[in-house]
Amino acid sequence: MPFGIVLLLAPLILVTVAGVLFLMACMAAALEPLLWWAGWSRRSAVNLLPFDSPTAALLEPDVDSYIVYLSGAGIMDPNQMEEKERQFIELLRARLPRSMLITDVFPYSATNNPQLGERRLARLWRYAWHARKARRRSFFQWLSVHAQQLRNSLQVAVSSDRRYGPILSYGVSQVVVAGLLRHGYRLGSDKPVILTALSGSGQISVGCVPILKRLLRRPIWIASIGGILTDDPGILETEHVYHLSGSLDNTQHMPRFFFPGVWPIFRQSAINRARRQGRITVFDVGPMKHMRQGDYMSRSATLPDGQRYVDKTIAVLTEVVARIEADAQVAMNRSEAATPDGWVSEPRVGLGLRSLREKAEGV
Amino acid sequence: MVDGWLTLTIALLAGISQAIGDSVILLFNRVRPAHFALGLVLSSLWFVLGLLIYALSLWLMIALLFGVEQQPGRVIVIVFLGSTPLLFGFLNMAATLGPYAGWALRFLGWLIVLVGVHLGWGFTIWQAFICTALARLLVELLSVAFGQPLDRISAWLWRTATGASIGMSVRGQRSLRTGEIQRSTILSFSTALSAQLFGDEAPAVSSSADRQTESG
Repeated sequence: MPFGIVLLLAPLILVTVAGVLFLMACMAAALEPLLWWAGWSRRSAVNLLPFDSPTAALLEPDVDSYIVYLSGAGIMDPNQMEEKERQFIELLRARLPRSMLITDVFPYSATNNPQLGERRLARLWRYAWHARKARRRSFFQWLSVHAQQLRNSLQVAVSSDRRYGPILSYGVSQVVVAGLLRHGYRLGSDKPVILTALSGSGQISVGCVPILKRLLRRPIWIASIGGILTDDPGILETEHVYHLSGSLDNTQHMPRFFFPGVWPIFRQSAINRARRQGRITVFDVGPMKHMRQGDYMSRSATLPDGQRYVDKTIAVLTEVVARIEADAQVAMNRSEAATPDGWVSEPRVGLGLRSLREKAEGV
Repeated sequence: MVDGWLTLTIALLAGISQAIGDSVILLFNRVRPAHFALGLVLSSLWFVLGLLIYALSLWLMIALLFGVEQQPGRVIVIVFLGSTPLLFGFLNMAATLGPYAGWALRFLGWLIVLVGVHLGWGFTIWQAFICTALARLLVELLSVAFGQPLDRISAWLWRTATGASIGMSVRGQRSLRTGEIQRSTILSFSTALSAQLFGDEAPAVSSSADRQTESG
């Protein structure tokens, strides 16, 4: 075969092989929740909630809200966060002493099985875990770190896929409810539940909202930190989405490439309807990136006024939580007078946020 | 008839591959592994039957539109050959990107049939296009006309072979492919689980989200 033709065909073959391999990885990602649901996996219990849990009998802690923190695709185990994220959580906890912060949910598994947990590829993930700490990475270390992130990112793809998303969401929602109960949440509580989602868990949290609403019989709010928001119909059931957006964060716009529903021309898509309903509020938090140096949790990068990025993120989150708590309280007071058991919240809870936004930007 | 057996094998394997790509239909029904395997075989046979119906309507179109009279065997071979790209039909299972891959594979398969008709009978590309398009239209019309009995037969076959119960009619399987059944099933599971959690039949939440969702 002439050399020229080989030269022309080689990239085509390579791209095709890479494409097929990638699709096979996407297949494997879909299999995890599917096999769990079908009862073929080792973790086959579909009901994950502690029905006989003694927490229900305990007194509810004296807090104003419950914040379930769902980390980004880089997380391997919520109990072994990286130093930067751990410090962010500590700062958030310090700024929100009246909120119960729940951080032990791994959103990229229907059964809360972290990457460092019992898995077939546990050895690879442990290798990646150590590789992340290495200052200079070998090729295989670099590969394992990216494979780790790819694995979690593909669960985001699973969540956004209408065929598999409800299954994954069903598992994650139960894990979230179990986490709430573990932290003293009382069923029927009037304290708002806020899913604080970083990066890929934005989509996962949106997927969980319809299920969580039915499980808890309460509205659910989302605070998204550079979250990936696709055209998942769950967004129409979310009470409100507050989206913190960094101007240098291009990853948050990835859905534009894979989900035509987010394009403005598809006016009837869920996300476009949610936008029109005023259900999404976007905060421009400054020139923040999606990850690494200069991201939302960065302690070294500062805004022109000298404020650290992490402090800005936390300041906006604090405002958002305050607003949600106020809205929830107003709604609860009104509904008590109207219906004793219904929790008829204010329509368009997100309205009137211009002042909040201006306030947040001025922080 | 080596060609015939070879292409039949290709079509059967493509059917199995397609069924793996659509395995959400069986796995969502929580079937056992043996029933899953049986479902794949049944699905493959169903797929080949669909190809045969398409081949016969294509043969009819060629005969009616261009007066070419010959045995349908050649058309069947071409249509079976057109299923070759669907040997990768399992890729349809891939999260998010799978359906796009499925469309691309089906498009490639249609191109093979188009070129087969073009070369096999010396038609122009446009003539071949008209034949394949009208044949597809005829199949769709047939499925509308005989949709209900077909639905009943397919649902009965699937239930008997796999023990599955959710969405086993032709229409139901389509809904499983689009995720409509998964969503409604999971939401009703959630409501039931909630009743278990609360231990009563308290009314569900009514929020601004509900009202706006209902009003569209």
